[in-house]
Amino acid sequence: MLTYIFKRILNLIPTLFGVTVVAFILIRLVPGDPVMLLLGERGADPAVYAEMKQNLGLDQPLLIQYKKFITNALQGDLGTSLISKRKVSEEFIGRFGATLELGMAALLFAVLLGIPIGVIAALKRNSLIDYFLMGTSLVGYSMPIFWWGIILILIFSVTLGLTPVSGRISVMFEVDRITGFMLIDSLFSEDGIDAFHSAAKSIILPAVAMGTIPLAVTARMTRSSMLEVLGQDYIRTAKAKGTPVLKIVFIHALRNALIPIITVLGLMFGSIITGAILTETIFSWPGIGKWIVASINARDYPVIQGGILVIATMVITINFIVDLVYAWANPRMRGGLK
Amino acid sequence: MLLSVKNLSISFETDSGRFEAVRNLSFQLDKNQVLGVVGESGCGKSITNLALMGLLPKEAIVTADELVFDGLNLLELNEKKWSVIRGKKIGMIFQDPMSALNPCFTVRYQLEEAIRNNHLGIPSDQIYPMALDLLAMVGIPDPKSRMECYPYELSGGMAQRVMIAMAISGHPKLLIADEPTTALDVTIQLQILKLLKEIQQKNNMSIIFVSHDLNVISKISDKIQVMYAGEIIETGSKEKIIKDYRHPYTNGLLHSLPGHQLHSEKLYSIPGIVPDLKNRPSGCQFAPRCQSATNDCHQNEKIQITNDNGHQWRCINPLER
Repeated sequence: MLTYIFKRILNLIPTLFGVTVVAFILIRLVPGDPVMLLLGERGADPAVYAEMKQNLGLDQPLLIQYKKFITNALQGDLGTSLISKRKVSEEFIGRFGATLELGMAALLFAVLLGIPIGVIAALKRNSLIDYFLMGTSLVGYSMPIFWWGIILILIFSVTLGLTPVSGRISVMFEVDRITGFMLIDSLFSEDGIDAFHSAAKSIILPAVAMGTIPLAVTARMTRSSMLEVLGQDYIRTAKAKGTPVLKIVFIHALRNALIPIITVLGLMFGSIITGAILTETIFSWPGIGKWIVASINARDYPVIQGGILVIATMVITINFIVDLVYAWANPRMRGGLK
Repeated sequence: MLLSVKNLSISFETDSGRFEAVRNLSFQLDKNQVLGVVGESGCGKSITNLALMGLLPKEAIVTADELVFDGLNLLELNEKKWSVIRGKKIGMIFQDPMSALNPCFTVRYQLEEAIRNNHLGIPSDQIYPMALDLLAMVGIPDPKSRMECYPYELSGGMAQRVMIAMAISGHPKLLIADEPTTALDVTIQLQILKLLKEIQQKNNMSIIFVSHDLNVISKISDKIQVMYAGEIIETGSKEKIIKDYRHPYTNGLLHSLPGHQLHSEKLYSIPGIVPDLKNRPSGCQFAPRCQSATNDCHQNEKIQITNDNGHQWRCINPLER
C-alpha cells in the first residue's frame, strides 16, 4: 500500500509540471496587457509604462519569467497579485474554504439524493416511477448551470423570499475565519445558531445549482450499476440462504454497485471545482472560481498561474483520495496493492 | 416422502411468444435420498430447482397439480413465507463458486450472515464458533485464517466448500446442488463429491444433484433422472440407468462419455441439437435426433410412460434388454 501511495505521488510531478507550463503560456497567449490595464484606458507616458513593466518583471524573456515562477512556486511562493498587491497564497487561502464548502455541499446533495433515487429506479425498473425518475434526471443533466441558477434565484429568493440572493451569510452577522467553512465558523460566532441558520440558508441554492448535474449523473449511474449487480450470482446466493430483501439490496448489492460510482464521483468533484466559476459568479459566492474570473479579466498573471496550479493540485489530490477510497471499497484492488 | 412434484410446468412469456421451459414434470424424492438429474444445457434442470426455492424471475409462470415439500405447499407461498424454506429447509449451491460468493465481503461475514438468517434469535457469541465448526466440517484447513479471506483469495474448491458450509448452516432437509463440480478441476471434483456424500449421511439430508455429466452423477446418486427439453425421459435407480437404460437418449449420453470407446478413435456425440423450445417438434421431443425413431415417434402426442418396478421411460421404441 505504501509503495502504491509513493508511486502515485511520483506520478504527480510530471502532471503538475505540465499544468504550470500550460497555465503560464495560455494566459500570455490571451490578448491584453496587464500593464495597460493597470495604467488605465487612456494610456500613459511610454516611460511610465516601461518602468512599470520592469517593476513587474514582465519585460524579461518568457523563459526567465517561467523559471522565476517555478523556483518561487517550489518554495511555496506563488507571487504577488498585480492588482491587490497581496500574496497569491494568502488570497487563495481566504477563498479556498468558500469553494471547498460549496463543492462539498453540492456533492453531498448529489450523493444523498442521487444514490437513493438510483436504487429505487433500479428496483422498480421499467415502471412509471423509474421512467419519471430517469426522465427528471435527464432534464437535470441537460440544465445549463447559469440558467438553472437564475431560475432558482427567481423562484426561491425573489418570488418566495425563502433564501438570500447572494453571499455566504447575511451581512448582519460577523464571523471570524477559523476553519474557512462558514457553516462551522458561524457556530463559533457571537450569534451562534442564528448565524449558522443564515449561512445554511445561503448555501442551499448555490449547492443545489452546482449539484444538479452530479445528482443526475449519480442517479443514472447508480441505477445501471445496481441493475448489473442485482443480476449477479452472489445475489442469487444471498436470496438462497434466506437473506431479507432489504439487506440484499442495501448491503449485498449496493456495496458492489458503489465501486464504479465512487470512481465517477471522484471525477465529478474535479468538474465541480471547475464548475464553481459559473455558480460562484451567479450567486456572488466569494470563492476561487469568482476570483479567477476577475483575475483573468484583469490579466493578473500571477494569480491565474498560481490559482490554476493550486486548483490542479487540489483536483489531483481529490482523485488520489478517491483512488484510496476505491481500494477500500473493492477488496480485489486492495489485494493488488499489498 | 420429502418432495412430491406432479405435472409441474414452467413457462416464460417473451416478446417472441410463450415457451415452456419445463413441462409436465412429475417426480418424488424420499428422505435421505440423493437424486441425480442429468441432461444437456437448456433441458430445464436448473429452472426446476429455482422453482423449488421460489427464485425464478417474476416473468416465469409456474403451474402444477402438486408441489409439496415437507408438508408445505410451495405453490401457495408468498415472498415472505419463502424465507421459511430458503436456507432453513432447502439449501442451495451453484455451479461457479467464485461468482456465487459476494466479492466485497469476507468469508466470515457471509457465513455468519447465513447462520443469523437460519437461526433466528441466536445469541451473537455463538455465531462465530458455529461458523468455525462449519468450516471445519466442510474440510477447510485452518478455518480461523480462512474466515478473514475475501472470495478472490480462495481457490475454486475452497470457495465451493464455503458455499456448502453456508448452504448447510441451517440444517436443511434438502440440498440442491446445481452443477457444483462443473467449474472445478477433476481432482477437486472428487473431493467435493465425497464431502457432499459425507455430509448427506451425517445430517440425514436429501440431495438433488444436477449435472450434465453422467459420470459425476453416478458417483453420488441413489436415483437418476434423465431430462430432455423440459421433460423427464427416463428415471430409475442408479444401476438401472447406468446398466439397463432403455431410452435412446440415455444411451447417447452414456456413449458420449469419454472412456466409453477405448477401441474407436472418435468420441461419440448425439447428432443434431436440442429443439427450440419456442418451436417444439410434435411427438417425442428427441425423435428428430433419434436413430430408432419411427413415424409414430414424430406424431404421437401422448407417448406413454412405461413403468418397470420404478424404472420408467418415455419411449415407443426403447432399447431391447
